[in-house]
Amino acid sequence: MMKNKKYFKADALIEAKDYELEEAVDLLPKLKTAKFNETVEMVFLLGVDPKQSDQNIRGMVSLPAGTGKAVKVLVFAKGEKVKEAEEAGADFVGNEELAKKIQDGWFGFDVAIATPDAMDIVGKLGRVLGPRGLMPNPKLGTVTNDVTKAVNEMKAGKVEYRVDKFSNLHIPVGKVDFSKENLIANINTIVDTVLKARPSSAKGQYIKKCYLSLTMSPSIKINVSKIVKAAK
Amino acid sequence: MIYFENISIEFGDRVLFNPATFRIPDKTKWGIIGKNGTGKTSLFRSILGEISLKTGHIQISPNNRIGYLPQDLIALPDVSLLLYLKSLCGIEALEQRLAEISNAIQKIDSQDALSKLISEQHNLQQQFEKLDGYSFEAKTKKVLSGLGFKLSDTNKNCLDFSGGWKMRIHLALLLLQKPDILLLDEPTNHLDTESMEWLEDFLRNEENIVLTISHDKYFLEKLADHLLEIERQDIQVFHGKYSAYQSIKAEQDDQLLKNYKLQQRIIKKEEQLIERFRYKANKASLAQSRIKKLEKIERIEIPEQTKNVHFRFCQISTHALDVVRVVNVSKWYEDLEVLSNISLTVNRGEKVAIVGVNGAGKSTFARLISLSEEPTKGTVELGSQVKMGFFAQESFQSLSYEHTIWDEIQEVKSEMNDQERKNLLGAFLFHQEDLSKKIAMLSGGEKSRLILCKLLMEPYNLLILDEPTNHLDLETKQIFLEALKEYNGTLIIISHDRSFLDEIITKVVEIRNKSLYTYLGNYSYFIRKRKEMLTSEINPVFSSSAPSSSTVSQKSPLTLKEQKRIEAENRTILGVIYRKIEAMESEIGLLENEIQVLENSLCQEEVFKDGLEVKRIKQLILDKKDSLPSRYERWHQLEIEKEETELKLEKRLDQLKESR
Repeated sequence: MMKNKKYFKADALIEAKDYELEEAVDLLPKLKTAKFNETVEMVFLLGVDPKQSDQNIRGMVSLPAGTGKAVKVLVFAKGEKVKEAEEAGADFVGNEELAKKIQDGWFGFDVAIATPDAMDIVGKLGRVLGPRGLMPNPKLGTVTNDVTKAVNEMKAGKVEYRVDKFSNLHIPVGKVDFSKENLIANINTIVDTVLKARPSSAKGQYIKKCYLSLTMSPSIKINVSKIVKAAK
Repeated sequence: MIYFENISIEFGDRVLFNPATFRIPDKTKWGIIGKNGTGKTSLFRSILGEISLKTGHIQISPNNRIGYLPQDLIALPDVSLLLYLKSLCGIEALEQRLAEISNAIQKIDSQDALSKLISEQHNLQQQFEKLDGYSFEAKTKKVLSGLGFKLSDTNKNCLDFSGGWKMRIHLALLLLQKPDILLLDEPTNHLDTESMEWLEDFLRNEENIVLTISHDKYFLEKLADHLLEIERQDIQVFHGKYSAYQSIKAEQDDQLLKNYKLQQRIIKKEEQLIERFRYKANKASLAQSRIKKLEKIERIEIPEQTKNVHFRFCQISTHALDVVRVVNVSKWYEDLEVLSNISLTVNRGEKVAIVGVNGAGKSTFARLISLSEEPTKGTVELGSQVKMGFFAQESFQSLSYEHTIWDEIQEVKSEMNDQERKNLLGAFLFHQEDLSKKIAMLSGGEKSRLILCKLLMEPYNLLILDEPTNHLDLETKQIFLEALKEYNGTLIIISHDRSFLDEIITKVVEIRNKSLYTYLGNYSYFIRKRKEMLTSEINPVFSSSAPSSSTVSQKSPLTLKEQKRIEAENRTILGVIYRKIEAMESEIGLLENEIQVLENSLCQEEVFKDGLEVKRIKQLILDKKDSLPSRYERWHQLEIEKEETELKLEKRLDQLKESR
């Protein structure tokens, strides 16, 4: 990221110490420099080896206060499930015609859900959806017969998390205009989820570092032991 | 991390190395150095579990995958290159199974079976992502192009590639598989300069452990941050770059040599003392205690290189000026044209390097000039009295694996007697105890040494060497380099070893796009000119007399201006010789005149009446006459030199005109 005057001004507000969570959340609005409603993002450095398949942390978490973002949901379904998805509020519902549109380069959605009987269509889209992280996945709950529940959860603020190859885990926790309580509730849920996702084979300290930042701001280092204790 | 605890390897009664303990941390790059046959490859094979250790054990994390690039060629299947790489990386099987699942989901009725299939699809999808399946083709193309492959090669059958390219395919596979531990046994042997540089950069950016056996100083310097040296049956660990190792090693060797000499002096003194008092009754006990003391001394052993073992080429006979003449030669293999209408003359005493990317036709060219193969069109001639020795890449095949080293050497028809043969073997670091070793037991480098040894048993005045330094260790390479520097015959050498070529080469011939391009300078000059040409994309300009600033392109036309310039340069070269001849002629004329004047003076009355004066003048005439033959000889030599140079320059100009 290109660092400008605003960035350095914001950076001067951050002290060189491990912040308490509440203290950090209080500081966040002061770091806002962009003209849009910036996303609050949390980053963990985990003590896992993502090369090992059992330590490749990935999942979804429903944020109690939502993400503050309107999520566009696409559902691959057949038969009566089409109607069910539409009633649940899915933005795009279909099968073959949607698959063709996607193959032609259309990606106007944030989450893709599929019913199991529509997986024959989705399977062919692996090369297109896979690299973008949009491939429906039974472990994430995006391959399901309960389309209504899945669509509602996604709309309500279910976010996906996955550890990258450097053992970092990035996850959005809300928007900068969220109330302090809402942000803390979301963060606690996320910390709890990440702690529960700890693989049994992981050795040493699990959460090594944790940072909170806005889309365009420098990051605030969080006191890991305190948030872990709070989550427990 | 790899942890070597107290490891030692022995083959029968031959100890490769004594127990050693060391560890290789994650993400580190190591170079393994040591002479041929010291056990470098055996160390790799012990990591792979192919040979058992005499003592100790090697600990490797069970999750770590090991990739190994061996020295020898590997058999490849009858499939396209991309398919081969995909199948070996596991991508092909995953793609197939995912496609099968997609089709099966359409036909399935049972809910349980459907969820099983979806779960399997998900797992496979995860594996596919982990293997970077989506970007596999792009990555493959990047790696292949870095290693010198063309884009169209991905669809080419693996069996259609030559030996060097097959090694590159295996290397590409290893780079794509991204093993946690990468073992490379002389990876640069089959790579050209560009690919070597690419590989250095690629490996440096990789996060895995890289262990590479190499005798290429440049490669080791750029890649390795740590070194493992196997010397005198010991494994030494050095943390630092190769250049730092070299300077420290030189200091250590110096110190060792000093200590060795000091110890030898002490031992000699002690021995003399013992000898003096041994047979005296009253001093016998003193002698005995000295003997015991001497036995207890830990003897310093010096490395063999400090024992100044080296070899010289046999003296060569005189031969024609034009050693090799290649005129309008083309070579086709079925429908594939490798060389197109090339011409080249190699003169007596020239040291020529043939360079070019893999597959450019260097080895084909070597086979043509060594008369091992016939050209499809044109002629290849050797000059009269030229005796040629040829070292081919596939020379290993000429060795009989059942033979011992001595059997193999005795089979060579040479005028050398047994002792001379043994001396030559000794110069090639084969000692008395090695002579009974079977060829099958020799390492790659030892086999190379043996073939070079066989090559030098006859006094060749033309040597054609195709990648002679592959498999040679740094020490042998240095010895070989020193010998080549002193070799006064004609040398044509194919090699990718930058440091090796730079020191001996006077002319570089590049094979590019089926044509020859000559650079009158050493290898660094060629690299510089080549870069300049690539950046400026201007046709190279030729200058025949100034080696430091000349390049030849056969394809650019020889303009009238250039021709005049070349003729002017030729005149300058000849002018020097003409002036020398003129000076010599006038000197001889002057002397002859003086003799004539002195002889005339003897007829004068005042002279012939004076006996002393006659004696003095006669002595003067005698002295002057004595100095005349050497001047005649010098004049004659200059005349020959003039004729030869005129002929040579004329020929060169004609060739240039023809070739353009």
